Amino acid sequence: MSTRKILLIAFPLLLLLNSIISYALFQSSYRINESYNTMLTRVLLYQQVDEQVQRHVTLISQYIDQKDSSLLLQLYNNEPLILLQDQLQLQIVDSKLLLEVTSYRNLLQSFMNNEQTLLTMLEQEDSLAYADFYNEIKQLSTFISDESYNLISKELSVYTGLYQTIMLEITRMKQSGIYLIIAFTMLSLLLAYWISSLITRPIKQLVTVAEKISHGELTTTLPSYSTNSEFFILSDALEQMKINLQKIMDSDKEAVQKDKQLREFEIAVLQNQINPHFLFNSLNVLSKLALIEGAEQTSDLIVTMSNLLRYHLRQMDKPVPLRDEVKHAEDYFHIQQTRFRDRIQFIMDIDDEELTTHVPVLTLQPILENIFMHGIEGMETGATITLHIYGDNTYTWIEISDNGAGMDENTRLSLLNYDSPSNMSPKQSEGSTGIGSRNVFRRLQLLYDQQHAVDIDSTIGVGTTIKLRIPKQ
Amino acid sequence: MVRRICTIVLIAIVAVFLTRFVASVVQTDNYISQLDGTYNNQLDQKHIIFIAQQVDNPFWKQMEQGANDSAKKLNMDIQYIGPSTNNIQEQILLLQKAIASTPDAIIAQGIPDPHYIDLIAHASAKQIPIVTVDMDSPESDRIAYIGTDHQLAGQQMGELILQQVSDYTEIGVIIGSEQASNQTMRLEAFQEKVSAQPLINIVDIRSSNISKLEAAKQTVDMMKKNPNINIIVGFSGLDAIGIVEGLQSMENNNVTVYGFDNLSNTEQLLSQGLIKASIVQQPAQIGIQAIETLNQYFQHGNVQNKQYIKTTIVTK
Repeated sequence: MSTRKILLIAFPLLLLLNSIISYALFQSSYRINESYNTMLTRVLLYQQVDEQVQRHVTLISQYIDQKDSSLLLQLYNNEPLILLQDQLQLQIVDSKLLLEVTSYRNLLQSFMNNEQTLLTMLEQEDSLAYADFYNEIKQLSTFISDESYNLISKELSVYTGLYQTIMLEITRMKQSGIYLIIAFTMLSLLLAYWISSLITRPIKQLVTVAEKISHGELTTTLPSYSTNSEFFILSDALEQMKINLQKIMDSDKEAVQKDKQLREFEIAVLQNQINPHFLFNSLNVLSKLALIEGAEQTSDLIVTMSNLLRYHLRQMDKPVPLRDEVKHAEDYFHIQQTRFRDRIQFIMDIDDEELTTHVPVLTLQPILENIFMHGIEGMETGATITLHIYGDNTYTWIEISDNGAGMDENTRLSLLNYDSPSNMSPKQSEGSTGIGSRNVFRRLQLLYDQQHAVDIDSTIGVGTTIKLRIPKQ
Repeated sequence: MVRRICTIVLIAIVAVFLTRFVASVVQTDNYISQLDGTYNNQLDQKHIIFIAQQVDNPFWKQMEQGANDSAKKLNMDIQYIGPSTNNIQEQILLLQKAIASTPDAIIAQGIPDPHYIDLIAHASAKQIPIVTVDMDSPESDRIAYIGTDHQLAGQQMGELILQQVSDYTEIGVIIGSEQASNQTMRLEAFQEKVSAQPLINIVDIRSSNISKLEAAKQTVDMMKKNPNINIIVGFSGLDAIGIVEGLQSMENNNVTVYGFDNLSNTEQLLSQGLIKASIVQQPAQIGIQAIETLNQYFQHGNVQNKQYIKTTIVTK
């Protein structure tokens, strides 16, 4: 049942219960008061009848004594007594006392009849004939007095008897009332706590789950709610989000995996482009032959060439000390110098301490190659390539500068855009054996990620400086 | 889970207290309605006033019971009153009051008092029929007498004694009241019957004022004055019981006791042999017949003047 339904049922019920109790309490007390009033009215009536009857008898006695006609007038003015008689007639009586009240009513009637006759006789001054009537009326008044008292005490005893029982019952009612209120209050408190927790608990749960998901724990299971609860929809939505998130992450991982594999293949392909053994053997033979034929310079060059190639065919994934790279760069330059002679100059400004820094294999040479191909090829004389290596505690900087043709902005940006793997500009792919600067930069990035940096400074017709930043391990 | 149990338990507790509370409320309401009384205003049955000789006397109580049983069936309601002790003046006063209360009928004892007879005439003039029970006022205007034939009863008692007696016997007598005609009639008839046997001598007659205690006291006194009494007869209902008590207080086992009626522990004393025999009236039947007579009177107006109710002799 949804929280809303529970609230809509529980709340009115509790209120209703409360109202019933209050009403019951009020009604009981009201009814008792009412009944007490009724009894008092009856008792008062009897007492008043007696009073009036006695008054009449007194007046009659006085008249007989004094013959004062004003007294007679008062006697004829018996409205109060008549009113009382009417009241008595209409009075609702307890069935236990009905016989006695009937007799009482008749006694009163007899009295009044007798009084009428007596007054008539008295008026006529019929000597002593009234005497019997007078005696009788006195007797009747005594009877009425007795009966009034009798009825009053009977009414009171009936009432008292029941009153005790009623008071006992009221006490019991008060007791159960108090217990009821206590139990009721506890129930209300419990219900309030329970119903509010119906709302706060799911919220807490969902918040915890959301937190976990935001921290990456996608394995958390969501609590289940009944389909009627409002939280079912929330929980469901959250579950869906979690599943989707998981899917996206999985597909991302897949993509990354694919990427890695592709790269590995690319490297493998590159590595296998050359069959090493044949090459080295041949070069060895060439070198020996040259030596035998007396061509020392040629033999030298061939050895250098062999070193160069060997270096090329090293394991690409293991970083090498900068020292090795520099040596390789020197070998490369040495070979190129054979072609270009004094058209080119190689200046090295190297801080020895930095040579222990590790860099990926073939970092410097491809860049040099690029410079030879695009930077200084057109120059007749005075081409200079500078290799400047320096550093501090954190980084080693490698600056390769040339005073060649420089590159335009597009090329520069395209080179710097080495993030995306398969985006080779046409110029790049013209390289002879080169794997390209972009490749170098990319491998730097793969190895050192955020800590590396590549910068290219170039002016057309003036020169280019490529600056690499390598973090120290 | 715990919460559920707690809630259910609390709900149960609340329900229990609520039921008790509501029960109390309903009960209180019941009691209060009793206070209000049934919505009665007027009497729709015939109003009969029944004046007993003594209001707590078991004989009269039995008569009231019989009358009530009959009255319920015949749509009459009986108001039962009477003096608290045996007092003729009060009886007369009560009759006067009853007449002034204009009932539909009055049932009362007959009393040989001229003022009483006047009152009956007065009632008759006011169209209030009067039925005498237990004791008659044959000179009055009562419409009927229902009760024992006391003369016959006295004779019966006499015969009982005659049967038992074979030798010289002294008899003591306790009667209820010397003014009550039922008592005097019984006594006279008894004396007449017994006088036939010269061996029997009634040596003492005392009055118990229809009080058991008084009967006992008088018995003791009588025995002191006449130690040779063999038989004591009690002529009104409680007398025999009082006589036995008196004799027991003296530890006297030699006296045979005879009595009238079967009240309180008469039966027990009979079975113990402490009372030899009792002439039992039928007060309940008297009551029933009194009401039936009145019913007959209301319907048809003519009733049988004297209705004697039989007595029986009861021994062990």
